[in-house]
Amino acid sequence: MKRSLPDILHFLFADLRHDHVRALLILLGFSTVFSCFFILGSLANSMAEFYETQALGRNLIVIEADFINPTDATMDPSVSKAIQALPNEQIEKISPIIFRYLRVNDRLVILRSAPLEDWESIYHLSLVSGDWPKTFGEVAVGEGTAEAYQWKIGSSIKIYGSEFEISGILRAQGTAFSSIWMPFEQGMDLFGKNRSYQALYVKAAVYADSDTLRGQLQELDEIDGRYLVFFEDTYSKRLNQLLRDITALTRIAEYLSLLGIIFGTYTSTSLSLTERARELGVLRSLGISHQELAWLFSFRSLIIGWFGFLFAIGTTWLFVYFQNVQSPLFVWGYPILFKLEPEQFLTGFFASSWMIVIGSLISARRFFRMPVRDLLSEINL
Amino acid sequence: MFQFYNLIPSLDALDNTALPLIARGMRRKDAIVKAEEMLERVGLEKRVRHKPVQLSGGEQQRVAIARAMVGQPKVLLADEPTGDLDHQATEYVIQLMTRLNHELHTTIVVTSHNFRFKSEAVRLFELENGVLHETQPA
Repeated sequence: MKRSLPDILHFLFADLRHDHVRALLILLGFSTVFSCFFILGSLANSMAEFYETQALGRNLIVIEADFINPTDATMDPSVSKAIQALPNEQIEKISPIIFRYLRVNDRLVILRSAPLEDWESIYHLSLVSGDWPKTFGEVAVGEGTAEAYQWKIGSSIKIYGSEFEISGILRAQGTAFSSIWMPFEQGMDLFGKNRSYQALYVKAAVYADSDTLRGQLQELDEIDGRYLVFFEDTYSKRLNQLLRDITALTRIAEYLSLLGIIFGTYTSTSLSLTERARELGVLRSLGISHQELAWLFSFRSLIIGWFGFLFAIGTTWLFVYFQNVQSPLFVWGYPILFKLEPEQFLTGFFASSWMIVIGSLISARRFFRMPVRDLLSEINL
Repeated sequence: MFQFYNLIPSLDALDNTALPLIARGMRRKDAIVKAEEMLERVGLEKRVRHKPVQLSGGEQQRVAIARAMVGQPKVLLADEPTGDLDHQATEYVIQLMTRLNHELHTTIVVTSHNFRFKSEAVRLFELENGVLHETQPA
């Protein structure tokens, strides 16, 4: 039997108004689950961005072995000398880099300090706005850091007790985009010349075979055993493995939260139907079929779910806005900015709609198998 | 018709009355017109927008009568229709059912413990010790 949608909506909204407290509580329940889905999804998307960056090239990194945190590594000057003394012309350039996790203006950041002339050629940095640091006391910041902390060109920041001014905003691949970049001489001056740099970047010549070069470096007496030689992208991947694992767990939690909608709908619909068994009996006795009632109850749950969905979009947007601006999340010093994607909303909408219908129909099945006589003998209206 | 009215609590008197027609596929707009007519017949034209909880027991039973009669059935089965009503409301409902029986030519079968129905019945059956036998109306 065909019914007009406005008529169905009239009765459903009359019912929701009548049972508004419970409807509101169910709506809030849905909304909480949706918010979890959106927030976990946006977190997973943001973290995935870090490790899904393009391959960084075939530069080699020499770093002390067995240190998980690169800040703790040191580099003996003899390593640099040994590499430079290699009897071939496969190496174009060697670049030392200082690597520190620091608290700057009460924010946790990564500071990288390398020779300014290597920033473009070895570290793949490009200037988005402003200028490269020209004078002592100037630094540049990656786009990620600038966005996370609302830092602008000309902003003053305090690094390791000294005042610095931001001269430019940089674009970089991988995690380098969320760092403060400082010329090497400044870094050595700031942290003390007695403290070593943390790693060496070795740029292979254009015609060089990077794999052969890596083998040669690894066999140097100064390197063998104490230091490791990575390809630049391999090292990045090793660092990002943590993010990969967290992202995988986040994805699982994200889809589990969506699955929770089935159980939530099942529970709320079952409760509602149990209390209304007699009302269902009356509706059946008036000529409404059990299939129609099942769909009506599913549609009722859908309406609550959709309103919960809209409410969750609003609350998630607010959460993401305040989280990103007020207290960004950090993983190993990298600011992870939550990003909401339209695809996530569409996926959530269609998947959750199906799950709501499934949850409602499962719970309704038991009641709609009961004869009208049994329904009418249930609780009084 | 039920002893405890069994109106849908979320709907007003008008929608409760229109429900059987909508269940048969009639559009709500048309069903409402017929429901208004029926509520007027049972004397509730001023209470059409009231929810069951806002109506007295007698009024709720009149809405239940209107709901049962709006589809113009040939036979109406009434299970203790006055079982939950006070004396005044009982009298009103009995008179109303008698009037509708005459006006709409609907056969009304009533099961009741209330002897007041005896005087209005056309045919009367008594159930005594599990045996049903016809007796003369009072």
